[in-house]
Amino acid sequence: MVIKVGSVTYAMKGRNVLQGYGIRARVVKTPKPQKNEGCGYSLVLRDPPMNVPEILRRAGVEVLDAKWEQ
Amino acid sequence: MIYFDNAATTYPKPNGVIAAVREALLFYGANPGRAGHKMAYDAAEKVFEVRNAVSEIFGLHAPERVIFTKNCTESLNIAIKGLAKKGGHFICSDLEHNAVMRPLEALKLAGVCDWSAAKTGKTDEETVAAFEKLMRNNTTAFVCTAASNVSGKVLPVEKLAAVAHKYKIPIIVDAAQSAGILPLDLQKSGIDFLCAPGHKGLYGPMGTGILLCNSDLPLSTIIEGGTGNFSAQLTQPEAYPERLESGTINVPGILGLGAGVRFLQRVGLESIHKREEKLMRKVFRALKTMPKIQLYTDFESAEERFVPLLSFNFKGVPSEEVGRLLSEKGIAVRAGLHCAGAAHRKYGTLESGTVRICPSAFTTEKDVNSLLISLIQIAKAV
Repeated sequence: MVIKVGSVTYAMKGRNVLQGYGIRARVVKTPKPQKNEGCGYSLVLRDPPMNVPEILRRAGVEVLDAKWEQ
Repeated sequence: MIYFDNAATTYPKPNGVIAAVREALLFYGANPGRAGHKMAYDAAEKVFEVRNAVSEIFGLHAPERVIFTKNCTESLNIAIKGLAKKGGHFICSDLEHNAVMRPLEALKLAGVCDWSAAKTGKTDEETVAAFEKLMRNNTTAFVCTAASNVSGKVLPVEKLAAVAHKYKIPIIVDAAQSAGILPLDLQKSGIDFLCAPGHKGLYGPMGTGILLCNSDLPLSTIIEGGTGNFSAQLTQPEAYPERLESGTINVPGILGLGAGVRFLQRVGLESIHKREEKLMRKVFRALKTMPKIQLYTDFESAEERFVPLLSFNFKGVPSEEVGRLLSEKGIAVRAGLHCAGAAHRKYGTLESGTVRICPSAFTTEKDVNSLLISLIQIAKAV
């Protein structure tokens, strides 16, 4: 799963929040940014629970997009 | 040299701060939050650790709301000008530093908004009442120092926050002389915007400052530019901290600040404060017995509280002359107006200025004894 967040700060905060739930996430530069957005940062997770974006939002992390990727 | 100019910037810095700056230059030399290579990630990680540490010591619990600036003045400018609106009005105290007074006056001269200075009283109640008396329908915010950089007088910022919130306006607090000295908890105190230097009571390097945003009120920007996110858009991102941190940030300074915060946590804010206050009380008691000395700080007051700094004059002698004589004896103090003309106007020292001494965690009893001996010698000579 790739979760696009607002910035590197949100990505790191999000990773730490998920760590508290025992969920491992990796901070990466957004692999395929939208044409009208430009640079950004994302969290990459392997087999996360469905409610990860909700956990992040509740912790005040701005979630811009969440996609399941093969 | 014996250094008593710690209210301007603390010296020396803890060894950990020096090591952290060196480490930053050697191993974290990439731009954080921009590239995707390892050193850029590592630098971003280190900066994030410091955001977290700063957020926790001030009870903010939101690292993304810690904005790194170059000093307290910049933080105050961002907060004041970020809240300013056409036809608005600010209320500050009559003890503010020019870091508050000048941005307010610049806004007034530009025809943006007006400001008033509340007359601080001996008691907290008098000061709070003076702020409330100046309230207008168009008042935008209170701006208040937590402690005067001239006399060290502590102002009731928590009580002022309560009054500001009663009128549904925010309070900006200048913590230049109190961050790292007095306990400040943003969530408990209700302070909306806290501005502080990184290089004074937090023991970081010069060129570091912080702005803590404990309010959802949006700040408009005074500087725009590259932030490493939403780069295809011409408008500034909304989210903190990047919104207010355009351009490359001061990674060596910030990592040094992180080490300063760790030093403070290890030694303990309360223990440093207690020690510094003991030293300043000793100076106060000694100076009180010298007839030629006029004191502007009163550690024995029943009504007022002071942070551990002390202002005085030799009656009839310009403060700069005393500063020079002390410098000749190897003692560094700050004489003059301390960039706070309004406070000196209040204390009646606009012409003479005052001599200000301020200890740090590294000041010793021996330093204080040397200072007192030098002052006794000067007293005989002037």
